[in-house]
Amino acid sequence: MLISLRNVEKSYPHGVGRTYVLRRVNVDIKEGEFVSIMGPSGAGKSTLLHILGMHDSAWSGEYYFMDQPVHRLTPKQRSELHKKHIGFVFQSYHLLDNLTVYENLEIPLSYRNVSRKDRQSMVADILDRFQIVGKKDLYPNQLSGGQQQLVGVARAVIANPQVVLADEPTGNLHSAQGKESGATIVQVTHSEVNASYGTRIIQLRDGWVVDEETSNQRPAVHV
Amino acid sequence: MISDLRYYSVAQRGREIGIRMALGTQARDVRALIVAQALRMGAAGLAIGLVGARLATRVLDSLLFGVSASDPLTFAGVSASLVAVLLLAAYLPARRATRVDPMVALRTE
Repeated sequence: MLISLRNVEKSYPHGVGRTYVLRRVNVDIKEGEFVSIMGPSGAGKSTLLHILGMHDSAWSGEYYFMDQPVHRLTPKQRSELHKKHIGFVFQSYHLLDNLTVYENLEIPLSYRNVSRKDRQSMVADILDRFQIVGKKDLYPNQLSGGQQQLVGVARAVIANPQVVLADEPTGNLHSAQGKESGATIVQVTHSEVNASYGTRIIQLRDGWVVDEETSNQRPAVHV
Repeated sequence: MISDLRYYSVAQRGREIGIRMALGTQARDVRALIVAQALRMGAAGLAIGLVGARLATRVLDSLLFGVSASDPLTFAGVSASLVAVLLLAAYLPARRATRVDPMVALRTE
């Protein structure tokens, strides 16, 4: 199993009690799956995704990633694991405003001991794959929202991660360029259409996993 | 004052540091980035200062008695002291910056 969550809970102190964001979440994700996490606003979807992405470490329970017990790792070890295996597409893109498209794409490679020559070649390849060669010297504020997210997706897959986690990726992750990465994908989405690209849907309500269904259990969604 | 300016500069870059850490940057990489940028600025300032000081020696020479205005040891000592102050002033905010919780930085957009 690539990802395995056991009784994962996240809560905040609230008055004399606690407010729970996630309750006893048990999820298994196999290699190559394309999983969609769905549910109403405030259900805990993005929180779950950030826990999977190892950005959030304030939770309880057990999380195994490639058989490594994430819940027992130090922040440095988690960061190493994230760096090696995970690409993240943020909901609001989170490109660095003072860097060009080229430099933004180079960031994940610069922390992975990739040589300068290889970095140039990988960035050139991804620019070509996402058909944004002409935008490489532009800054994020010179791009449209869709183009910024395309760069965000390209940045997430440039280092060929085993897992891509995407928070509301609209259509860009499902494009031919996004699919080519061959990675396991976990996306948070409100869109039935976007979820239809996946192999499984996990439904969250008030922090609980209330339903899981595979693609062959759902009626087809016509785009 | 240098330290205050560095703290301000690092605080302004909280979002950037949060994003870099969320993308897998290690704390030591963030520290190195901030210290390197401070050193680059410091090196430029030092170069300008040394040239200015060298030019000023021509005027000062006539006012000094028994001491050389262009004493290499003094120049080297002052330069080394300034670099040491700059390193410390850059390192302390850099160390604080690496304690940024990426989740907080990502939320404060």
